[in-house]
Amino acid sequence: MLNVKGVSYAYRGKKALDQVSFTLGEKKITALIGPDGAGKTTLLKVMAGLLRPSSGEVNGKDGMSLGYVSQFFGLYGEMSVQENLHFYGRLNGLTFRESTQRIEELLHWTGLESVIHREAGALSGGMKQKLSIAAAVLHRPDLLLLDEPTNGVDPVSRREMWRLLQSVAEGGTQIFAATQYLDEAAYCGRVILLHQGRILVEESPQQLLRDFPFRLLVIREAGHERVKWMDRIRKELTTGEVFSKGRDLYILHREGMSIQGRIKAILPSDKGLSLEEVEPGYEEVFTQRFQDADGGESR
Amino acid sequence: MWRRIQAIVGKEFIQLRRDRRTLAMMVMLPVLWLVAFGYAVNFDVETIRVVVVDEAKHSDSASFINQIKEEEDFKVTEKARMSEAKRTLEQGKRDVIIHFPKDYKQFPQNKRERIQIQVDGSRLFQAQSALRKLNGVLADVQQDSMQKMQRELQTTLMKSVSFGMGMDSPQWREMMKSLLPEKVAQLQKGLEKANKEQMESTMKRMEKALPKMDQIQPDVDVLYNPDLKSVSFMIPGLVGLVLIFITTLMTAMGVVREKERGTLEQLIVSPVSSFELLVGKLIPYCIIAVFDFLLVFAVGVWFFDVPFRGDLLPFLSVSCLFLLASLGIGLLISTVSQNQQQAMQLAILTLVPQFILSGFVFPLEAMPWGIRWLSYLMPLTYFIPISRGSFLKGVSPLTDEWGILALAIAAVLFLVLATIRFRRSLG
Repeated sequence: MLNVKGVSYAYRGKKALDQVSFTLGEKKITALIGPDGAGKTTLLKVMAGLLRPSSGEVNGKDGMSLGYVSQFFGLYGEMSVQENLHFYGRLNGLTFRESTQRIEELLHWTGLESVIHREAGALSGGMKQKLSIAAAVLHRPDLLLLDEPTNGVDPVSRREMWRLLQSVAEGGTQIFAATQYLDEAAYCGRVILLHQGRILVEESPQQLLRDFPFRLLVIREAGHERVKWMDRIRKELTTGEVFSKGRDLYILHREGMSIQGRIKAILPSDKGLSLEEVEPGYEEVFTQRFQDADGGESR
Repeated sequence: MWRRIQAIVGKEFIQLRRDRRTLAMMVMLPVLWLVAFGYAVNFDVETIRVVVVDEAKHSDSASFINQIKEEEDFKVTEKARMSEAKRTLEQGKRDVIIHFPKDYKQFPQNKRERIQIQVDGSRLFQAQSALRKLNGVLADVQQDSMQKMQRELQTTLMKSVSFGMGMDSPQWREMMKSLLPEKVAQLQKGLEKANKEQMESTMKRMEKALPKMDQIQPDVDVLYNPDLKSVSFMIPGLVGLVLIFITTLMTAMGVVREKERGTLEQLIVSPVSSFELLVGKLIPYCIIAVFDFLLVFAVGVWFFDVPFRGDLLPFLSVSCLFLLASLGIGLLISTVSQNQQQAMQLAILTLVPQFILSGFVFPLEAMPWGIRWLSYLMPLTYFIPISRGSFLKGVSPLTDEWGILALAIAAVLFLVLATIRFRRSLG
């Protein structure tokens, strides 16, 4: 449906995209994952036709319709929810009747019925995002591009939003969404990891998990002393990573089973600390990939 | 296509309705200007405050002073000394000093016998009005004194009729003695009669030769604006100024606001073309500008009694051309600006020179060529003479082919440039 071929984009001498190529086809939802400054927004803008690539091209099928949800709220704050939706409906060629009917549907679907006459600018962050998506899918586009749609949205609303997007995809719309939340890969049929303007991996998230060569150990409630142990544990690893998340300490490793004993020897015995093995998540998988690309320096 | 344009026009009006401040500005601006230019901006100072210093203190100076005092436009006070009079000028309490020096004569022979007038030039418009009015009064006074001089000349001549014939010379008396008394009387009578006749014919010739004082002034007719009212000069220009201000400011804000708020991206992604977007954006501003234009026009004609002598339809069509040019300028500003602040500054930067250099207030002819060429880059410069011609002279705007051509070129040029820029900024 959409073919991105050798796209590069330079801004003031700095390459934001470097020979990016991929095809959007059978998988309904694709996540574009990458750290800040990886070029996600630039890639989306090139795909939306907002930026002209320095080289390469983006080819869509003939008469392909597009929906785009930008990173920042791009609707009219002084207009009501209904007025905004009507405007985009008409702009996309819907008749007044079609537009009215579709708006009713979407308001019900997004749960924005109660705020239909409220000014869009007065909505909460999550509601604004839902409205933006509603406005972008009014005309049932073939492709929906989203730039960090869940940014700044609470976890409950995030899950809700992804359910909405999944239902959009079921309706026949291709979805291509950039996100910073690595766990959101779980909702997608495919992920593209973008790093410094280049594609690192293009794969289904499940396959990436399967291919992940590391195992993960966690020490729960490690307490403030964990900083002291981190360096000593790190010395026991040939490759991998020691990092803390919250009050927990995580060890990513490729050692044999003996590593558990060696770590336990470092930990003080009187604190009642336990070492357990957990399943690595998308976060670990992607983080590891990006670190590899950075040249393996530790976090 | 029309559906999309309609959608944009509708959206603009909704936004405008919500944006009370902008809406108020667009309706209030012309009203405010009408009040300002209709009432406040007036270069004619009605009352000139005069201080008189009379050091001559004789009947001539007194009668002159009385004559000044009789003028409605002069408010006269007297001071004994020049130093005191100067102080009133310095303090801004008076505009003009009229000084009769000690040696003042009605018909002066040298500088010391002349009236001296001093005008406060720091107050430009008072000074100009004062000079104009003083010249009028002085001309009247001069005329009066010339008439007086003529009359005096005539009576002196008449008195001297019996003299100057040599009738009291010794030779004449000798000759008379030798004649009979009745003959003498006869001769004398005859001579006197002849003399008188000759004198009268001389007088007649003199009267013919001397100017008739009440006829000496030329017939001056001020056409088109007989009372030289400022408001009649201002309103035809104001019509254009309002058009260009409203359209430039609004369109300048129009596109850049969408850019700044990120809504432009949504528009670009949608199937709307740049042409549709431009047309959709311009229509509302056109409607408002036309409304403001008609408002100023109507108030000017019906409230300020500014005559509209020309043909309405051709004038309106030329105004539309001018409107398109201003829209183009606004649009161009909007597309080259990154944010609303920049657009505002750029708009002001183009509007203020138009205000000063277009001939709206100051005549182009008074500007040196180093600056005047700038005037000819501005559409308002071409519109104002057309507007004044239509209002005051009743000249059809279609007679000013060059003006129309310039406006047409400006309209096409700015709109095309703006569209190109706009397309490019859309990526």
